[in-house]
Amino acid sequence: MSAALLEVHNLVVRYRARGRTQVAVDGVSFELGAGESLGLVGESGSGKSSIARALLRLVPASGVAQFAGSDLLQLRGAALRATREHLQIIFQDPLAALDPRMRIAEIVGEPLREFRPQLPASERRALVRSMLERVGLDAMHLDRYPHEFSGGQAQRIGIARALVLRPRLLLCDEPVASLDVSITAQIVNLLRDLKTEFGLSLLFIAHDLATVRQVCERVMVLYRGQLMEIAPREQLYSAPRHPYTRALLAAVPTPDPAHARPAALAVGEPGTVATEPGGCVFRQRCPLAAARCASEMPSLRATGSGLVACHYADP
Amino acid sequence: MNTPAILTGQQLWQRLSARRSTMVALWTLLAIVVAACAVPMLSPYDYSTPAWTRIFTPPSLRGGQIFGTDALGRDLLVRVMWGCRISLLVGLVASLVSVVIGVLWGATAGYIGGRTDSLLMRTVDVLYSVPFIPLVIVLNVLFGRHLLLVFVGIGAVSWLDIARIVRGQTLSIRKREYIEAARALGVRAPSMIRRHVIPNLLGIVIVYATLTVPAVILFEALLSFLGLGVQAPLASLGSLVADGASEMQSNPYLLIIPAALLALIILCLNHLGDGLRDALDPHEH
Amino acid sequence: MACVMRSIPMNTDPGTATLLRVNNLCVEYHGVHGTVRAVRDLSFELRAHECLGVVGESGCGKTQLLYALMGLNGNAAQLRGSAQYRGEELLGAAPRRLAALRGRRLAMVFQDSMGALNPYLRIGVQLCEGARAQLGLTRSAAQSRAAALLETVQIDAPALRLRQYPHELSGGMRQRVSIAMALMCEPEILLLDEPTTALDVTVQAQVLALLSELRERTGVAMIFVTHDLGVLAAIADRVAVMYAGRMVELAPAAQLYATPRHPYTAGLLHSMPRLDAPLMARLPAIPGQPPLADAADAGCAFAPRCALVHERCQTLPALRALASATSNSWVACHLTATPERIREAWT
Repeated sequence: MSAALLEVHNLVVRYRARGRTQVAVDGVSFELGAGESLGLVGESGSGKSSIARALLRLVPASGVAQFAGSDLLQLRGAALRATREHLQIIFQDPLAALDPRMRIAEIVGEPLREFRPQLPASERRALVRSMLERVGLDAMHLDRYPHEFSGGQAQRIGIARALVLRPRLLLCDEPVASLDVSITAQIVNLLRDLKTEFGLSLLFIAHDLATVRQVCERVMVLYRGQLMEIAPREQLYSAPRHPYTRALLAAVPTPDPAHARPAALAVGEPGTVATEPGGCVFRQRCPLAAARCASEMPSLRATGSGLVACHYADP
Repeated sequence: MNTPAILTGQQLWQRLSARRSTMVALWTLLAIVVAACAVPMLSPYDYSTPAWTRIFTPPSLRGGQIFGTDALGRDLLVRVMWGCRISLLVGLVASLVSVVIGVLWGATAGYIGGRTDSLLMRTVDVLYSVPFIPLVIVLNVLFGRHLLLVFVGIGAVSWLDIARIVRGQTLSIRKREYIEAARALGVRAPSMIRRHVIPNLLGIVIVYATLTVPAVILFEALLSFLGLGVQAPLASLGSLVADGASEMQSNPYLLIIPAALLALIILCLNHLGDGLRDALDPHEH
Repeated sequence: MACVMRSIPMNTDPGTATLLRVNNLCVEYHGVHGTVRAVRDLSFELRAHECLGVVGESGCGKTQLLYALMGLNGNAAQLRGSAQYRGEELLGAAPRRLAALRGRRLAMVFQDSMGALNPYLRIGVQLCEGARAQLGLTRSAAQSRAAALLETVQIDAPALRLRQYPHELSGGMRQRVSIAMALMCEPEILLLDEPTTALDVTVQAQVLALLSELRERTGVAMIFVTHDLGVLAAIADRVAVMYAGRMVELAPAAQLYATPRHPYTAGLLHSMPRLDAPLMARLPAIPGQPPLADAADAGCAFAPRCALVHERCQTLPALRALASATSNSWVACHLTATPERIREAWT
């Protein structure tokens, strides 16, 4: 396996709202190899978006995130800015992520203006044009404004902007969640193609397990800021170990009436906070919950080719 | 889901011209501006030369001095047109300066936040509490009467409102996704403010700028009325109103004409501001 | 645009009553920049106890369809055609008559539960509002009915919940409350507008199971609108596929999923990432994007994206019955291709 591009240890993200502190990410650790795509799956409150924001230093976080030789969470100023060239992001709401007052050429060209200021305007425009064509948009769109585009096209523009500097790692924060079904496949295919062509590593955040399976070689399952299970794709989807992973997979609706209906294996909702702290965060909803789960927090242990945090998961 | 559409100049014009009151206001203002420029140049009379034989001539359509003359026999039409020039000039220039200062101040405070924001906005609060008429009086005493002091006095006041409004708008812009996207790209604060925040403020700034102009003109009129504004023989509409007020009993036209013109200008500017606000409002259409 | 009368999918089952009969329904908005035709010439029937799924992407008109049935489109909308509930015309009906029907005969559950509930009123008050107005129940009778319904929708501690405000409940619970609210007056038809789209997947599974159970228990008919074909497979008896304001396919669920007859339906089913199919290197994607709602009618709206397009597609295809099917199967396509041919085209 290739050397790790990104190594995250014990990442913690806390939000303070109205005097109360909420822990969005509670000590998550993982690795991402060069050229690999890792999926981050979870429901609301899982902390998956907060991880992306923490890596981009958009929110304060503690822990270690080794990327290309330095700790992302400790960098400041010019050193931090330098990493932005290699670490980029595409967003869930593609139209909102584009400045409505700027033309597409300016939007996609902005990273070039920031990091390659010596580039003459004509070359910049040429690079922007070739990038747009690479994501499937015609050069005639260069001088248009965001509101003239559909969601799927706007996401392509976002991808073009993120990749124009040829970053090493692309964070995808629910990139197809707000897109039409018929467009999802186009964007998924595009991301896969670009990953191969540019040698990208992807950190793919999504709540839809079926889409993640299409894109990612390894998948992490998060619940309330903690890692429940991480495994290679084949193992996670065919033989999930953690009860939460099983509940997620069983709940995904299948477009086949002959298939079993979505099963509700987990009771309650992702937002339910345990009445007494301590122990496993999933125990309120878990069909396998026992006394041990309330008193002892399960640690990550190896199962097959992955890791799972559960007292009762199969080995 | 919908981001506001960018209006082309043509679309803006279309929307503006849809409202009759806005168009009337616009054309009236333009007519006044043209008159203010042209009349003093074309008229045989001068705004400052006294004519002792013709003092207090009432307005008459015959004989070329349709607005009459004032206490020193100066042609009122020319003086009123000069007054319009000064008032509009002060209005536009002082507004422009205050808009520039207010936007930069408010956008910086709103975007950077934290202690910078506190510092900048507390300064605004302090300045709000300064009584301006006494300030202008003090300036006048120290430096003598000068048109520039009028600008300074007014400029010191009018940017405060804009700064507050711009800061509020910036706070809401700051939360938008495209700002987060630009931050993730590594864009630095000055570029952010210049490239992303300010262009998205333009809509509201234009509206408030057009509403600042009449406020500034009125403020200047007040200063001149109190004798703190332009120095004689230069006239602004306010000083003309002051002069006319003292002759109110005997020669009311000296008061009515400049006052009416001042009111007309203010009215037109307000209508224009309203029209612009409605035209730029994405929800109206 | 003239709405031409064509044959509509008729209820061929003599055993059950027809609750809704929609004929050539058109919903249009005339604006400065052109006309938005949200729903174009829609015809279908809804039988008692049936769950009709309506699936389509953004802009296909599925939400506008529900609004038209409830009379919620607003003054700017122009409605043509007919929508009859048990023989009574809904379009253009007197506001008082519509208000009497809403909640009592036809009730709606919205996508955004936080938006559909008044944040300033307690849950109990909102639940009882409709019932007291429609059924004339006393406050205590309405409250006990509300508590019973909250239990039915699997909300714990109903008495406590009745006194709570919407923001105190989680998303899944609010959606259950919306469902309970819709059921307060025992309507015959439940209109659901993407009721589970905003919910987490595990909560969605719970709510879908709940809706199935409610159907069994109360026999309420449903029109379930969503963009998610997977969700409908679990709950719908018949599925209608909409594209650009028109219905392009209508068939019993089992048939639609196994052998889709319209290229769009087939395209959607094949391009969706699915857990029950082997992993493909590349998803067969439908090229292009859905048309805008103000696009004019120029032949089949799907033609620019269709893998099986040919010359005849320049004229608008009518909704026709499939001769071979024994039950209600309709497709709006000039092709008479076999399902295998359609499947081939997309893979």
